[in-house]
Amino acid sequence: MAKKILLVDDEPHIITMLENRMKHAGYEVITACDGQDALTKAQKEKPDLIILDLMLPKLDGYKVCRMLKFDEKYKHIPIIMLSARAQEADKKMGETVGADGFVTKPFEPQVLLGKIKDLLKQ
Amino acid sequence: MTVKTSKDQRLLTFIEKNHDGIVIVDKSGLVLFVNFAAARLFNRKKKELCGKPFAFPLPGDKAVEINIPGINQEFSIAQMQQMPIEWQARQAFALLIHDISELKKTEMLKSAMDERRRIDRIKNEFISNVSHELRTPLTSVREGISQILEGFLGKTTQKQKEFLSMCLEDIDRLSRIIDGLLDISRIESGKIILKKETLDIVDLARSTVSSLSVKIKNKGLELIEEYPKEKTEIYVDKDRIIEVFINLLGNAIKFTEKGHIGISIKNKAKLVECCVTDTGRGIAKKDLPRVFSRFQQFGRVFGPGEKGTGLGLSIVKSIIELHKGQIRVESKLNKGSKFIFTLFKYTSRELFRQYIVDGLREAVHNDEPLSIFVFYIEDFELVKKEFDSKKIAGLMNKFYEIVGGHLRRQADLAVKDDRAILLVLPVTKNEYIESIQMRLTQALEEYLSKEGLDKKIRIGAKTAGFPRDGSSADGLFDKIKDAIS
Repeated sequence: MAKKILLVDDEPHIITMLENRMKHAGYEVITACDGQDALTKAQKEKPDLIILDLMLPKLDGYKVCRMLKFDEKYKHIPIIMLSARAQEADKKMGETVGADGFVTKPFEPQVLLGKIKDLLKQ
Repeated sequence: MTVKTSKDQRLLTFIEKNHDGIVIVDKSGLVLFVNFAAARLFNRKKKELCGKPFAFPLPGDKAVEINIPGINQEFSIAQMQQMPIEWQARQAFALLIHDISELKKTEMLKSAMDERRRIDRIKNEFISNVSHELRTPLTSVREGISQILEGFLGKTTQKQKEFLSMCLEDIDRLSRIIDGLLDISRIESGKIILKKETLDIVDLARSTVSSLSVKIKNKGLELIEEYPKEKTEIYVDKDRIIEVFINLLGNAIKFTEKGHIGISIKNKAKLVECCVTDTGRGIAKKDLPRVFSRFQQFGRVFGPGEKGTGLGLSIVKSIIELHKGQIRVESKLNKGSKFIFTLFKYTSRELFRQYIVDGLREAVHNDEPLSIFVFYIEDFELVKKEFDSKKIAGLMNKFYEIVGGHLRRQADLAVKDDRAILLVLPVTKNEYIESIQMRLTQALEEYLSKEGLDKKIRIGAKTAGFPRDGSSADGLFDKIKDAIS
C-alpha cells in the first residue's frame, strides 16, 4: 500500500508542484495550508510522514511539530521541516522541537526524496 | 562661646569638604561662598566666583539640571537644588550642586548599546525575511522547471531541455547569490560569532581536498599537496575555514585547464601559512586590486558549468579577517594564481585568554552568565623533575577526560595545555562555581589517590565568573592567569 504523506505549505504553487512530485514517486498525498489544518489532518488521517513548512498562518510549523512530537499517539510520525529560513538558529529550533529532518528551500528533489525514503524505512 | 565657634568651624569644614558642590548666594544672586568641590566643578578659583553674580538662574523650588562648560568644549552636567538658609545673620540660599556627568555618560552609553542591539535585531530580522521572501517563489520556479525537465508533464524537445537546464543552473546560481549576500551581511553586522575550536589544520585541508579530488581528476589536473609532518593546531571556526578552502580550491579548479592544483601548509613560528596555487588562466595585473571586492568576476568561463556569484573571494577575505588573519594574491595572466592566507597560532596562555574573550562576548550577547575554571598541577616545575613528560601528558589526558566528562551543554568547552585545563561554562550560574569546583577537584584527587600519586601531585583550581567578578575579559583572565604557564 502506498505510504501517505501530509504536505503542509501556505503557498498553493508549492503545494501543487510538490503534490505532483510525490504522486510521481508513488506516494499518496494529502495537503494542508495552515498550521491548524495540518494538526487536524495529522491527527485524523495518521499520515506516514509529514513535510512541514515553518512560516504558516494560524499555527507556525514549530508549534505544530512540538505538539505532535509531545503526543504519544503521533510522535512516531517522522517530520521533515521544509523551510526558506535557512539560518543556523532556525535549524537548531527545528531540532529542539523534535523534527527528524530539515531541508531548505529551494530544494533539490533528490535530496528531499532521499530523506523521505530514509525516514520511511526506519 | 568657644563651643559655638568650634561647632561653626566643624560645620564650615563639613561644607568645605563636601563632595558635592555648595555655593551660597544672597537674595540678589551674588555669590557669598564657594566650597572646594563647586570651584572645581566650575573650573574657577574661589575668589573668581565670590562677590560676583552667580552664572545660573536660581532653580526655585525644584531641582534643575545645568550644563557647565568645561575645557575642550565638553560639558559637565550637574543637578542643582536650592535651600533657604541663614548665612552670617542674613537671608541667603545654599545651592547644592551634584555632578551627574558620569551617570549621564553611562546612561548615554547604555542607550547607545541598546540602540545598536535594536538595529542589529531589526537588520537580522530583515535579512531573514528577505531571504524567505526570495527563496519561496524561487522554490516553485525551480521545482516546476525541474519537473518539466524530468518529463512529468509530457515530452520535451532536446532544445527545450537545453534551455530549461540553463534556467535551472541560473536558479541555483541566484540562490547561491542570496546565500552569499546573507553571509556577507551577517559578517558585516558582526552577527557572526565564530564557533572556534582547536584543531589540526592539516586534517582540515586533507579532508577538504579529498572532497574535491573527483573534480580535480575529472579535469585531468594533477594535485600537489605539501603539509608539515607535525600536528599543526590552530584555533578557528572549522566550518568557516572549510568554506575558505572550498572557495579557493573551487576557483583554482574552475580556472585551470591543464597543469596542477597545489595546496601547501607551512607551520611557522607564530603563524600558519596556507597556499592554494594553480596553473590556470591567472588574473591581469590591473584586476588584482579588485580581486577581493564584491561582484568582481574576471575571465568568466563561457559554456557549461557552475557560474560564480562574484561573492566568494569577498567572503573568504571577511572570514580570514574575522580570524585576525591576512590574505593576499599573486598572479600572472595565463601562468596561474597563488592565494596565500595566514592564521595566528596562539600560545596556550593567549589561547586560554581568547577562549575567555569569546565566551564572554557570547555571554554578554545572550545576556547569560559565564563560569570559568582552571584546574592545574601545582608546583609544576617540581613535578616535571620527578616524572617524565610522557607520564605527565598521560595524566593530563586523563584529567581532561575526567573534566570533559562533566560537560553538560553543547556550548560547554574544555581546553588543556601541558599543566592546566580551562573549563568555560556558558549559562552556568555563578553561584554554582564553588560546588562545581569542589566536585571536579575531588574527582581529580580521587583519580590521583587511586594511582597512588596523591602524595606527589596536588591539584589547584582557580575560578572566575561573569557577572560575579566583573564584565571585562581582562578582569576575568586576571583571576585565573596565575594558574597558566
